[in-house]
Amino acid sequence: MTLDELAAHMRVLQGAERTLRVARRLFALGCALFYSAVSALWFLVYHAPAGQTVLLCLGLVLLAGALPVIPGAWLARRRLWKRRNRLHSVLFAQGLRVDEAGRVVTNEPHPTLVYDRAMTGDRATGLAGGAHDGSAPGCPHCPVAVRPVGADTARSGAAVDGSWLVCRPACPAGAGGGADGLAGADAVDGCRHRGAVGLADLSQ
Amino acid sequence: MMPPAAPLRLLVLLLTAVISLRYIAWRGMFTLNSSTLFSTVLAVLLYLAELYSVVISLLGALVNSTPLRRPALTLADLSPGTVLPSVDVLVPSYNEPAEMLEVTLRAALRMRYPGGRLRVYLLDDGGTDAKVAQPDPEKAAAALQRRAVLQALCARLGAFYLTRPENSHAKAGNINHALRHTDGELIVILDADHVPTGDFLDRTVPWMVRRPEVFLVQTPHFMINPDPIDRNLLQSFRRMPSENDMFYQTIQKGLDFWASSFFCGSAALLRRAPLMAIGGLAGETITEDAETAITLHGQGYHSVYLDRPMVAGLNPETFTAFVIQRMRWAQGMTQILLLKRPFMHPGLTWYQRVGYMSSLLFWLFPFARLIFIFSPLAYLIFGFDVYNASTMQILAYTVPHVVAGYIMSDMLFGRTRWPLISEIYELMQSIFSLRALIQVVANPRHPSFVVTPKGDTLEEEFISPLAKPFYWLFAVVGIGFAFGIWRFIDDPVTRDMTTVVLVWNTLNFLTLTAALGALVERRQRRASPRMPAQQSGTVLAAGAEMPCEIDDLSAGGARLLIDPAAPQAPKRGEIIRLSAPAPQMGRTVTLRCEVCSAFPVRRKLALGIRFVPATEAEASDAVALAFGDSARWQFFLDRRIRPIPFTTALSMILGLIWQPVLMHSRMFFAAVRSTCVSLLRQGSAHE
Repeated sequence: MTLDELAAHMRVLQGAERTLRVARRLFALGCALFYSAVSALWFLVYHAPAGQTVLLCLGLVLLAGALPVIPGAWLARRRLWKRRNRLHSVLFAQGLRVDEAGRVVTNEPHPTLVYDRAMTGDRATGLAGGAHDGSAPGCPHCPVAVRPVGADTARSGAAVDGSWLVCRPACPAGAGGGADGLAGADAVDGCRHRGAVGLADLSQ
Repeated sequence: MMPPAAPLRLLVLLLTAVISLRYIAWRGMFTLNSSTLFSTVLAVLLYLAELYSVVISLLGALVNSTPLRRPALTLADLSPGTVLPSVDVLVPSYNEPAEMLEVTLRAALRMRYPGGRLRVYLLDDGGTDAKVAQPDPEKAAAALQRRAVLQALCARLGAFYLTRPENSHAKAGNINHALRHTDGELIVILDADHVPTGDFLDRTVPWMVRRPEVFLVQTPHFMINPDPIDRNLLQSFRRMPSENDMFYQTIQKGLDFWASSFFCGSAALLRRAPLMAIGGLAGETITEDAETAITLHGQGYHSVYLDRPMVAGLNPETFTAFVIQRMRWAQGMTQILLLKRPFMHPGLTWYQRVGYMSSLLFWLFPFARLIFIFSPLAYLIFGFDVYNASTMQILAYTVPHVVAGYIMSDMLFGRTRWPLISEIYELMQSIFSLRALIQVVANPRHPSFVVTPKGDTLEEEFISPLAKPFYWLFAVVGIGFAFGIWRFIDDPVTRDMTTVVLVWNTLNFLTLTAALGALVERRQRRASPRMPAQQSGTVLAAGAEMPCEIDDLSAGGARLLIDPAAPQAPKRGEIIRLSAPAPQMGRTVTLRCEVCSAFPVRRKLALGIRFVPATEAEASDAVALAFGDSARWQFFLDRRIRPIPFTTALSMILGLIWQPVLMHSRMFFAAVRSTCVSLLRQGSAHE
């Protein structure tokens, strides 16, 4: 999987998450409508209060609205749930996960930031195979707009507490880890490379 | 600092609260008119139990409406030149083994903090003068030997050993004695089995430095082994939030927002000055921690709750030990409710009173829980009309209340407490806690501190000695079904109500059946539990290096996965060296190990290894590798804290209830067989 593919994958995943949220709310709404309709009709049957025609019409309208929504939303929810899980499992199989802030990081206690749409934005499509343009702050080698992870740990609450940056495998400084095995903590000043785990693994 | 609450969340909580209040008002006004005096008494009891549940839900909703997540602060965030306060680490101990204490002391000594400003004390209550001089010579000799062993251990590690003349006031008395003999500005209290990570002080001390009004920084108790109910029944320690996750991952954060997060006895940093001003830890009740927090909150001091697991502890291994622990908590919290009366304690703000009342009233759940078990039986077996409502009313009032309660609970605690699972935990504690609570209510000063046994090994499966009340309850609920079916056929007029009550009884029956499964104590041979590591390393064997994955890890050993095709794969009994990065220490550690087993697993060769450190530094490195990294604990927690839908929880329970029946029948037949065999042997011996 290249970075382009990862970006596309994340777009699909985020779309699926959004639609799933809508389907869930629709299903809950359908259930609430159904329950209100049945309660209203049951109440009518037992008590026959004043203004029963209005209540009857209201109950029937609610029922008519709820009946198609519930199975439709339920099916959509089920399919989207499966799709979302499948998309996550692709990342999981690559040793990656999506953190609470929506970033792709390695699935480890000390994760490496692999992809952050908020930082790369639309440039993501131009990243894979692109030449080093030195545009990334802090890293003269990487075209990926990267920055230390952890500055917003408190906000996101994610377990990201390292400060690794990601380089493409082509990045000479990011080709290997540091001597102590701590993922190249001192590879380049201002930039902590972890090329060995980063995108190299994604291409498997 | 305080994040704004999500408006939708607050709106939903408000709506669910209104629905529940509407229900409880309707119940109180229209459904308590029973046919006989005795029925009325039972109906009122059931109503009180429901009222209690609604009050607890509403208090819980208020307390947890806006959980507070504190930002991460470290010593590096302090301005340069800040003088750091001196820290004393106090490890109170009563009867824990030296091996367990050694791990805790080594980890405490390895916490990152400027040299000379950290001192670690072992407070031994098992080797006091009174214990050494007790009349029983065997026990006196054991106490003397314990004292000598622990003194030698402390001298070897660089910790300080403290004991006292007598054992008055249990743990609180032990700590207060140490406070008089130490002088650190800050105090860390760690239980004997609570192993801190390297960054504990790095992340907690800055709060004390920056905010002088803070008297307490509490952190979660992260348990590295399943509790007995999980181990015996659920077996999902790695996949399901544990029982105390609800408190530490949700409730304490909610309490923190209302400035009422409280001291939990361990894994906390305290400021000495305010503590000494009130004469040390309070000792009026057996939960000295919460009692002390109430007193200091009342004096205007603040507390901070840091939601990062930085102390790894042990759950009790057996159901008996679990019950002992929970009874102590229930009794202690009820003592505080009766003796300290936080609802009128001077100095507390209204929201602190609400926070404390929410935490204290929760422990009265055994009363409500048992009423909910017996009420349907009163109707099904004896025909008492304890719940006077028509099906229409149940649909209009009860069902929305139940749904609203579920939505509220799911919204507040869905990630840390799965539906139905909590029912099992509460039911299993209820029977024993009820008796303990009645004792406290009768005599609030009566209970005494009982130490929770930990670190046991269980050689074989057996049925818990506390199982008998559950068998009785199981039989009675089963009889309720028989009567319910008879009532359903016999009385068509009340068929609707009978159906509703039968559904209620079914839920109770499912919970009880599952509870039976937790009473079969499963084998546990390992005293020191292994935790998943997910870390890479290098094995050095016979002059060759080979990469490995560390699959799991404890202070005593690990399981490594290596390539089976490696030319010099280590054999059983071979001495190798394991080299692995220890991120919290910022370096790679190398440990001497003995291969205890080698077997294929997941297309790899698994090596079971035991650490055999050659030096003291290497032994400390092993502890630091196993327990030093809080990111590992956080990672583990993040994997299992997630919500599941009600249907999944129900299918989980339905899948579990067959196990108890099978296990109990298997053990029953095994017991019958062994009895028959022994009788036959006796008979043949007589002949």
